[in-house]
Amino acid sequence: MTRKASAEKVAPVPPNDDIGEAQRLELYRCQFLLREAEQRANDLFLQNLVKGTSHLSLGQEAIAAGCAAAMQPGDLSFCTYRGHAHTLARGVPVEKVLGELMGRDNGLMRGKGGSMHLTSVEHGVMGSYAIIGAHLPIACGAAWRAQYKGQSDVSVCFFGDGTTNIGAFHEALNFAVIWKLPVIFVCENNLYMEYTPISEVTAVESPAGDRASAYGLPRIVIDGNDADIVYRTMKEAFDKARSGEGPSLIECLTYRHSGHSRADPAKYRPEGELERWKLRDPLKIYKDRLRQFDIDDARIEAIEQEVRREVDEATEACKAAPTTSTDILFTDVYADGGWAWRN
Amino acid sequence: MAELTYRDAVARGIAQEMERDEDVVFLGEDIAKAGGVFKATAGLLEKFGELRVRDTPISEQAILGAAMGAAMTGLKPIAEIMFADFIAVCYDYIANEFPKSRYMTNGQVKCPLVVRVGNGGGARFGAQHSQSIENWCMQFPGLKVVSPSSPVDVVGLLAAAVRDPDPVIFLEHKSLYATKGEVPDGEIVDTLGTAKILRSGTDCTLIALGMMVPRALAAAEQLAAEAGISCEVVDVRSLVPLDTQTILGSVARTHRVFTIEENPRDVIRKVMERETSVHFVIGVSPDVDLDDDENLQWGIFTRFDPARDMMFSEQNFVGARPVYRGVAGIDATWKPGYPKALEMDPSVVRRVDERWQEYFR
Repeated sequence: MTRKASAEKVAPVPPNDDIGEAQRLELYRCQFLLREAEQRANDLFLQNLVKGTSHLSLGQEAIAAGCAAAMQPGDLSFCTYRGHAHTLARGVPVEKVLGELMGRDNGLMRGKGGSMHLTSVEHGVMGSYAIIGAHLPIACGAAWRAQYKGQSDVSVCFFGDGTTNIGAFHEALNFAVIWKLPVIFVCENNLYMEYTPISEVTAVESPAGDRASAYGLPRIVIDGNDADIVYRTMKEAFDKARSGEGPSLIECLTYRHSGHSRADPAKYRPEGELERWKLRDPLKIYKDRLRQFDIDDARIEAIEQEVRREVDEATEACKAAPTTSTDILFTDVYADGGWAWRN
Repeated sequence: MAELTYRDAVARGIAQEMERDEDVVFLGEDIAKAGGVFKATAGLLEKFGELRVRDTPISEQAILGAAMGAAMTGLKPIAEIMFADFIAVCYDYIANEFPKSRYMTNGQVKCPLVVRVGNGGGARFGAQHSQSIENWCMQFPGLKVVSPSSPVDVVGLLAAAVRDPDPVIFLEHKSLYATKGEVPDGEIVDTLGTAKILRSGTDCTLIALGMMVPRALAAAEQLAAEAGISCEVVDVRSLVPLDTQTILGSVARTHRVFTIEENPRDVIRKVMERETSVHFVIGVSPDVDLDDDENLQWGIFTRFDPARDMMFSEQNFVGARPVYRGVAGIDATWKPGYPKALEMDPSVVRRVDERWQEYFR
């Protein structure tokens, strides 16, 4: 089911709520899809069908879903190597993402990028960058183009807490502010830079929020496990960016349910921490929210069934797809389509 | 036709492209109001305005990252990294971002940008502002690397670089900024990947790059006058793509090659070795003790080139390390696809070798 189709089916917006039922159902559907798709990616890894590394954002779905819901077509996403969720949230088909992870010819980049480099320009996903911090200046550049050409799109750059300690973060923040660029920096603070607690290696308590004042920006630190809060905060940031008021830096507090990457069993976490955070699982929070708004369980269940079917079908399609052809090994090194560097 | 300095040619080349295409924008440190620390971009701000010619903070990563983001989404940025040495602080973009973006995304992402840098030594800027960084840039598939040696080539190759759909590192030699040359009026657009034979000769080929091109030409004059040795001089101009047809074609005619370049890892010689089976029989190690006057080989090369004086007559070490590599193609066997193996005439080989030995005795 596409985002649009699901939105068409639902009842009118109830009064006294800025988000509305249709958007709420979509926010839940999106979060559920991200959860299911990433769990499937993990299952496929255990079946040896996904090889190499990958970095899951299980537990962080509210950020990707809330941001994507606030974005308009044409807005651009710049993701990190932990980019499955942000890519899927922009409407990239699950089959394309799983296919890429599995090295199949039906993958988003036909297997040439892999898990850490998911890119779908047609969906506004301008790349997933595996060098910490690199994409913050790149997002500035895309925003500069919008500003220069008088285009209304906004660039959104997602990164982790660890990124706030690398130089490119600070260069990009300063640059975006002095040029008043339409860019939104979204820090997903999941408490661990990789294996090390961010608090052990950072001079301030809120790695992004407490740095904002150095660049003349307001301190914005929000609950990143509540998709409504993420959505509302992003809406404001988009309004600011589109009205020419420049960038925003938003720190979203969240928690990574799994380790940093495939290789990490996350044994460094104190006992009970994961369990405590699971009580604040974004999907649990949001399901409760839907019930508060009198959306009955049957409708929720229908969304879940639809998503499960979508992920199952995508999985089967990927299993049936041929592996990447070696014919493309030497293509697209240069713009002429080839790789020759001399005549 | 007008006589322009290499410095003025930079501004002329940028202006030509900015006039032609509104998507061409220019950013860097001190490039707008100050006109560039080498005064190579004076007048561009006045001509094109502050939306297109933008001063940046000292943030090399932000400069190259912003150039990339703009290029990916429809602009054609020219970024200046003031001294080539500073590429080291934004190397991620050179190594990981620009060159791999198209490949990794299966062609979805394009990166049409130009990074201009002040390359090379000889201007007494010291060891951290004088390096030649060809080898830093050449090793990444996806990146192009250009190095003009004359004002007319600056204009034409810069235009070609801006119009090229791939990322191009444009190495301007900062010791050439004051040099002059004739530049025709009107639009000039050159072709990347083309070397130029600047002087024809029959006994040996001098392959040179950047500031070493005028030195190679001077050496050729001197060798002709003093030893009757006829040198062909090839200006490489474009390292990636590389015009192996022209370069190896010259080698095929002369059977002798000297590569003359500033890069301490003598990249042209390495390419020659990789691309051919030329047996390098005369060589000067780049690691040779440069104070060793007794070193016969080094003595050979410094006799006809002023570079050694440049390096050691100054109180300040200039930081540049010109390296002169000699090679004679005694037994040239060629890889498939290149000019057919030479029919070496032993008498020619002997005659030239004797002349060399006589001259350098």
